[in-house]
Amino acid sequence: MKTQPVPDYCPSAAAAVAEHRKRVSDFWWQLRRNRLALCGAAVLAFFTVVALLAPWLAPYSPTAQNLPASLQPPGPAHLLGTDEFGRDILSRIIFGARFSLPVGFFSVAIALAGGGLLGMLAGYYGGRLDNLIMRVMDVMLALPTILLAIVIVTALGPGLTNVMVAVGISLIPNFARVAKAAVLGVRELEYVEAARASGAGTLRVIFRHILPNSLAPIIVQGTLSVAGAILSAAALSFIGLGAQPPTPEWGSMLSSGRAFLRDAPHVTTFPGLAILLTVLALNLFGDGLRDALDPRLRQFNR
Amino acid sequence: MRRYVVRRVLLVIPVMLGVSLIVFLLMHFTPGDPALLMLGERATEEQLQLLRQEMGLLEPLPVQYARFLGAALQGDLGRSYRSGRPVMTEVLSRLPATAELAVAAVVIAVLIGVPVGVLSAVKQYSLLDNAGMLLALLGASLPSFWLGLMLMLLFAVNLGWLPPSGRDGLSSLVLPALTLGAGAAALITRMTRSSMLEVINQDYVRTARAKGLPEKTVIYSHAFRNALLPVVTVIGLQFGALLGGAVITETVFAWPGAGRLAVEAIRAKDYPVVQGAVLMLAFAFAIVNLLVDLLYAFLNPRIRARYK
Repeated sequence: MKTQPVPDYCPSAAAAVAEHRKRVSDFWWQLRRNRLALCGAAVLAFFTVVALLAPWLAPYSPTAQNLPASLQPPGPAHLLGTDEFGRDILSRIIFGARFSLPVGFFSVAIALAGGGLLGMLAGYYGGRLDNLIMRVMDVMLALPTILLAIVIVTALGPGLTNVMVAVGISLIPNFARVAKAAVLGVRELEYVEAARASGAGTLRVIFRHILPNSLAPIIVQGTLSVAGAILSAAALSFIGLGAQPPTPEWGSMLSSGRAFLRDAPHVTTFPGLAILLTVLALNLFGDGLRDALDPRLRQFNR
Repeated sequence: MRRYVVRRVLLVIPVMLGVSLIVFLLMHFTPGDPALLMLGERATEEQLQLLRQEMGLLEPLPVQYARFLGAALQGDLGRSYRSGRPVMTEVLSRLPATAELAVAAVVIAVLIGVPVGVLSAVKQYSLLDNAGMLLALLGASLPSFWLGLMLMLLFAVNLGWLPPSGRDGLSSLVLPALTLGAGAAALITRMTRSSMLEVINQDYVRTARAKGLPEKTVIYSHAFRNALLPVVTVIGLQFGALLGGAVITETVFAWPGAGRLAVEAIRAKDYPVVQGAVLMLAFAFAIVNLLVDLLYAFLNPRIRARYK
């Protein structure tokens, strides 16, 4: 494996650094070689820019009504047509990026913080704490994710922020499991033992030594979960529990467009395409990350 | 084997207890006064107080939960604020529609996912494989409600081949089942492909080939049978997930199932019905997961051996 013999019990610092550099460069090389993942990253960057520059990019106001121009099909004045209140759909989709993307990321951030912490505690301490945490996670997993999110958002009341929280909580068990498995994988390794022996406190061991070395599976799970979170949040908005009108959120745009499916299908088609593109990009990028970070999976999934 | 079965069956009890506690608490902290919801704005404070007392709402929370649980175990999930009918009756009248939809969706997902996955693996890196994987990726990324509306637009509104909504015979089942099954089909495709690829590289498959067996026999009776195990698990897990996804699909297609009942009840603030529908769906989910685990143990000799 190594070019020069290094005693197992005392790897020299230089060798360790070189090994780390090689792994990092290998990761970037793998990721850059994956054209689909790059496409996904490009689409994500595009939507992020669109969200940031929305006021300058959108040709119209996302909420200004213009009833005489309602339900117009796509044309030169309105590239993607107008909705039932004469609002420009392109402008609404552009502003919608400011809701759907952050909702996806923040709900995963909640799940990551909550589930990551619980999973690491369970994995690090084991025993009764592990048992308690994981049994609670089992119960949460016993409800289908979307159903759990629906019940939570019902209790919190409708609204986009609450949807974010609900989707985030409903994803906690997944992250707890991944984090626990990741910690178990490195807990008994020598450098962790060394850190503990040198008197590092529990928190320091977890955050400085265990976390950085068990990040890969958590990052992959995170990226793929953003895709799922965006879908769940849009679904909750679609059934009326999320963004409330006139917020230009993609799921609720779709929902209000349903009534005009027959005569003005563009009202439902385009917001759905925006969701599809975003989620597709996240899935491509997440798959690419996984392949680059976890060589064991590479041969089976491209 | 029997010990494993008993253990696994008994495990359903604490899980369902936990689920009932979560759902009960969440519904309890939902804003809104049940008495006010039942009697309406014009009720006097005395009437409200009387009803609260009658419903046990003034008791401490643990007592309320114990009472709820005791009643639920006897099949009593309370009464709907809206219709006054027992929640159990309402949910049970809607569950068959959901089960029908979920089963149809699983069947569609398996019929698409398994063959495409096997072909993809056998012809790895071919055009067919790439097309299959692209489809699987699309299936996993499609918002189901949007797919449903687009299918409705194409097959019901434009072509007029199938009814756009409602539950009336087999033709009305096609679009909702396709919508619900698409995501599961995508996952099953990917799982079948990767499981097949793993098995194809095993020694016993190489041995079968080396013996001069025809490729068909190698693939179908040696590789496929051994690749099935993880696929069966994914199918089972997906079946459970579909019970949740049905909430959305049923809303799109006005399918009269338990999921749509829950959504309608949320809109009407009819919380006992929400609670009952969610609990029954979770129970169905637990039973499906139980059956999957048992089937898995039955198929997997390693687990059978451990519990001899």
